[in-house]
Amino acid sequence: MQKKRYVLKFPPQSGDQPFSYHLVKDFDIRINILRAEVWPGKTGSLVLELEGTTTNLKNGIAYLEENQVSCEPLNKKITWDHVRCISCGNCTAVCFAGALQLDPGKWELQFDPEKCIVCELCVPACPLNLFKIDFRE
Amino acid sequence: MKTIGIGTRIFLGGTQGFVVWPGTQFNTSKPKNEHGVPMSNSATLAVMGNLKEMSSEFLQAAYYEKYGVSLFVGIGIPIPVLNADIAKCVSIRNEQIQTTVLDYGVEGTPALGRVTYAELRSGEIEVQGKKIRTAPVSSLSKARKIAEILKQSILAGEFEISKPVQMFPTNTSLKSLKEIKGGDEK
Repeated sequence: MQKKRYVLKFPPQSGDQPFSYHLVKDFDIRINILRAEVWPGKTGSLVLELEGTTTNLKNGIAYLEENQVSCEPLNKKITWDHVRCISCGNCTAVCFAGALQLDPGKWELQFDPEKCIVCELCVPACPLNLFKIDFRE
Repeated sequence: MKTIGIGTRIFLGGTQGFVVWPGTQFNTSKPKNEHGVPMSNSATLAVMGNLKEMSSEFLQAAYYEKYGVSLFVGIGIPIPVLNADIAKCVSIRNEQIQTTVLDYGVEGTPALGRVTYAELRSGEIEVQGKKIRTAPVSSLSKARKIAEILKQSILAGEFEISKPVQMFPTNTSLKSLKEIKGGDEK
């Protein structure tokens, strides 16, 4: 069993298709919706945590891509300029997912991409504007 | 207030600078706790240095959402431990420093309660029975870096600890201007 987080993008005309149902039913993938943006007539996006066997995950992703849904691993979507970061800790106040934390020994900012749910709250919270998140096109 | 005054040499933005005057809203008549620490904003400093010698490692432009522009300035001030009294002052612990929680959502920013720095650093405080998340706005890791740089340059003889030319007044308070809302049609 493997657990992976993906950012899914749906074409505007796919709103009526139950993709997540098929991931569960046909590929035995346990899904956890971390974030969803679905609007009629627009590109929709979904942040999912998928849990399943390596084969099932691979087949599930292939099924989505066959249906014009783009799937990208979540961690590729986030960049943080750690060279300019002074570890002020402002962003940790808004990171409810716990991905941004100050390590209690050195008080330096630690970013754990595995916990990030791309809520984007850190983007305006950073006084130095060091977070770049590519979630929407 | 015992060792810092006009003329004190300091670490400022990556180079050496000086304390030149009391800062804006310098106020020494704020209530103090039993350890002699003011329980809200109190004495502030006006400092000066050569910008061309500073480094962006210790001086950065900042912007706070819904507040405005600001500046991150790295400052380090050496405190010579000259007597037992100063030794006591520099050994104040986070548990002994209190500050006031203000409500910025209401006009006049009323006080909501008092907390210690130790509570603030724990990541969570309790205000009026509610648990509130806390986060710092200044960098402790940078502060420790600056302290280490300052220590090394003092040991190397590159940074001379200076006696202030003039100490700050100890009995000042603010006389703020009253805000008058003008512009109404007669």
